[in-house]
Amino acid sequence: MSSDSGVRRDLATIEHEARALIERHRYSQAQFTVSRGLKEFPESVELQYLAAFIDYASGRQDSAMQGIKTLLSQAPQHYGARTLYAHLLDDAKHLAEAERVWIDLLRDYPQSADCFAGYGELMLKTLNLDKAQRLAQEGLRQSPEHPGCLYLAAMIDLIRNRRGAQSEHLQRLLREHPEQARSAIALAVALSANGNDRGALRIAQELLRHQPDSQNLVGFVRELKTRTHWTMLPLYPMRRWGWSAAIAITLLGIIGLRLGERTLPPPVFETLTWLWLGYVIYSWTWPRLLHRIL
Amino acid sequence: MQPRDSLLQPTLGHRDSTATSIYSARTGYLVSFFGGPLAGAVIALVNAHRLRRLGTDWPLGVLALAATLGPLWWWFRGGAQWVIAHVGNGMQQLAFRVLGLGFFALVYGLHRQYYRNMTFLGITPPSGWPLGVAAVVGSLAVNFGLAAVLS
Repeated sequence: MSSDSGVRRDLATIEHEARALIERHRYSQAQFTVSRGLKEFPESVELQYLAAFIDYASGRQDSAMQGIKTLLSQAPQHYGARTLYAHLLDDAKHLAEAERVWIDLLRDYPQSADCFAGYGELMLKTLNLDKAQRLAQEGLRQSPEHPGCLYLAAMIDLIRNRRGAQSEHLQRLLREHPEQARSAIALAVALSANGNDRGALRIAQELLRHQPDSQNLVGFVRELKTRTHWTMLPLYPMRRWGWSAAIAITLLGIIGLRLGERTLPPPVFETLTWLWLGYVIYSWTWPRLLHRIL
Repeated sequence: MQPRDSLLQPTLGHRDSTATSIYSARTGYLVSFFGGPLAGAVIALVNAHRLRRLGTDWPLGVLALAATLGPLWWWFRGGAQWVIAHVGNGMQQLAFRVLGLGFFALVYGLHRQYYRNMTFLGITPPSGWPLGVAAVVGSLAVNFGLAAVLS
């Protein structure tokens, strides 16, 4: 009896230690702890789940998928394994299958804000904005301060509204969960959406220092570095006013040159024509080239 | 209960990643500039199909047809003489570009939230080259055909 309780305590201690390491993003140490635990308790479902989660968090998607499928064959109702499976399917672009898993989870756990947030993010990723918004609202009804649902709602505010930085959801996310990386990401996106790319870049770079393996962050930082590069200054109208500025510059250029053809001396007209053509070509090609260079 | 049940109905069906992004605003702009409203409508309607909102956006096709036929009809029914007399030569091309870019502005306004969604989430659009070139060539062919018929 005493040895049985000793074994249980050991397993619980290993699980606790592994969870604590995962929370601190110390994945290599957590993996060592879990591997050691699995040698002693190979049948432990929780340790198998943690092993798959560490693979997922460390970017080893194939290994995580393999582990989670094995685990689900033994414990098909394991909540953590099912949510991780949905995320893995989502990452692997098996989106319809990921949706099926999220729906099954929501049928079994109708009050899980985590599941509403996960399914909502999938809907956002597949451009189903209305459904994503309804899922975020339902998740927030279940758990008003849930960080995943607040992040989802804040992103939808930003997408729908140019003045997204004033979003109530974003403010709540920053107030209630200032320590979360998602809060910082949402803030950076909001700053960028309001034209403050330099502020957004500082936040994104700081986040990248803490999560150097995040491909999404790498892409975001590259995009912001491109936008804030000094060679992009001549393209300020396009950055500030978007496609409206592109249309205005194109049409004003064509009309202006047509008028200039009749009224200006030929050398001046030719110079202006080449300048305008150069500017148009620069605006279409340079940002893409710069994005590849940086 | 009903609204919540509707949330648990599949939206993606059996489709996977192919329909999770739309042709970029860049593609729409270039195609509308070079091919006019008809070409712009091709991109807009393909995007509407990918967004499963063709039922809402189909009038864009009618509008593009009207924006092409109307000016052409007017041009060959005395409009050309009026324009040459009042504004000068070469205005037909300018009007074609204005109509194309105006149509793009309308489509962009309608689909703006989807473009922003893709930008904020870093979603890569499909390559616009094959469809874009086909739309421009097809639209120019239709324009020449209509011009031949109406003249």
